[in-house]
Amino acid sequence: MTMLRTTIAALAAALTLIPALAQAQAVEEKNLLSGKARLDPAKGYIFVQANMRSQGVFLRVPDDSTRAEYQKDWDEAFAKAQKKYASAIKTWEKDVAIAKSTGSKPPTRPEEPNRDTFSAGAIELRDMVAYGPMFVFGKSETRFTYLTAVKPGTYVYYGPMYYAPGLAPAGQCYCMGTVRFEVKAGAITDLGNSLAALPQIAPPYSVGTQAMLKQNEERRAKGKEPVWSPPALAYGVPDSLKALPAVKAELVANGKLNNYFGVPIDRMPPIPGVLDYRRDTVIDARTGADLPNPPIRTQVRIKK
Amino acid sequence: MFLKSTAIVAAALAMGAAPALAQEAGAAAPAQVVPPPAVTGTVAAPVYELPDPATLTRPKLDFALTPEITADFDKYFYFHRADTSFVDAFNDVRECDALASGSNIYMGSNDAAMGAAMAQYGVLAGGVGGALGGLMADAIFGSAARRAQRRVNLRNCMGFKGYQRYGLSGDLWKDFNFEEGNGRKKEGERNEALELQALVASGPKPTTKELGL
Repeated sequence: MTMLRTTIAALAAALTLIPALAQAQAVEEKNLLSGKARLDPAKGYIFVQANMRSQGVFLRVPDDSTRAEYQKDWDEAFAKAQKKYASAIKTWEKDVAIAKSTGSKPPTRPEEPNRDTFSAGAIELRDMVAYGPMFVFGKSETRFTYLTAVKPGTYVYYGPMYYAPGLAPAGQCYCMGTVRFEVKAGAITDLGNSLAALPQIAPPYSVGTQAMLKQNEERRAKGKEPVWSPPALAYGVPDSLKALPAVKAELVANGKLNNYFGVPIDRMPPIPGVLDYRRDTVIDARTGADLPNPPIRTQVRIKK
Repeated sequence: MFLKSTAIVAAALAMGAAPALAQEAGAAAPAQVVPPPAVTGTVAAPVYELPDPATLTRPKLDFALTPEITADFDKYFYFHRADTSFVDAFNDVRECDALASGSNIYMGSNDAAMGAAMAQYGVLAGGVGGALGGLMADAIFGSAARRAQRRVNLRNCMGFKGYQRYGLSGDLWKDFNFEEGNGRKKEGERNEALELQALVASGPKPTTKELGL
């Protein structure tokens, strides 16, 4: 019961921070029109549309500045861990002495931080951005749009996943193959609905896709609409964004990614001319070249 | 135990901190050592000595088919791919295990596969309001969902890699597989199971029915 209370308290604490964080990157049209928000030419913007509410996560490919910051944080965290270890080992020595005098089992020796294995978190998640399903830019009955202000750079589509700090991530990652695209400063990178419209579902299907196709079949047999069918490709930004030029996102194949959030895994279905697969090897369909396919290692703390 | 760990994770996320991540110690067989992705910290994986497959005892895979056993094939199964070496199979099994580890369940759906499909195909939005409820449910009922998600992830990953899936009885399955609804097993125990899974995956072609993905 105490644990349950602890859980509730932690969740409540987590929730208090969500709106501010979630809104930090999302730009809403009403705020732009009222002057509460402004487009910043130093930033890049990702524009997405769908015929319903949608959600997704993008991981920014680390550049030199991200690497430098990461290294700095890593050094600090390692120094802190070493300091903590020095104090832990003193406590442990005392505990061992007590255990000896009382004849009880001595505690396990604390593990010394090791430069080769010490981790300060995944660098890939440093400049992660998420959009949707709340904080729409604009909406009508058949069109929901999202505008996200981001640091310019290269972004990898992590998958149709809902992410907000403090809440359980929901959805899935395209951990076994996806796409990336460039986001330039001072421009709106228009993804349109391409992330849903361009992929062509093809075998081997994931368990989820298989379930969806089966449902579609069952519904068709009853003369009903399928649960899902790919939308017609659509791009275009509204007039309220005319202050900055809009550029169609150019999708490029991207290799496998780690399952950082412990969600269901899948991969983006192939996109003609962009993304293809041979078994689990991701192929850049522009050139026909295989992308590097290093093995994924678990991010979960191992138990000795 | 679960509640405590969920609380810790939630608290860590509330502070904007990424959960502490640790890379799995280990690499492939000596001849095929491939370093882990270098971008995640400076992690050098200790070499994992893969045993000679001839020294391993092949798990028993023969069983009498009953309707009860067949009904559980979505839980108890193994993989096989023709013309695959033990080392390749081990690398594949190990990678899929890594991608399926540490499930973080959203309990919006009782069925991990459908839950994922709903997110992928845009039906998630309505369910997101229940995410907090989902977390609470996860703290209480998450174990079964975590096990289910692990199975789905293994099926997706091994399926993409071209492996076929075959059904097995629960008793035989438990001899060389593990579930982690209540936390990670010890590394030695896991590695032994993964080795046997690789032995089966690279062994003689099963004569039982292919289940598809």
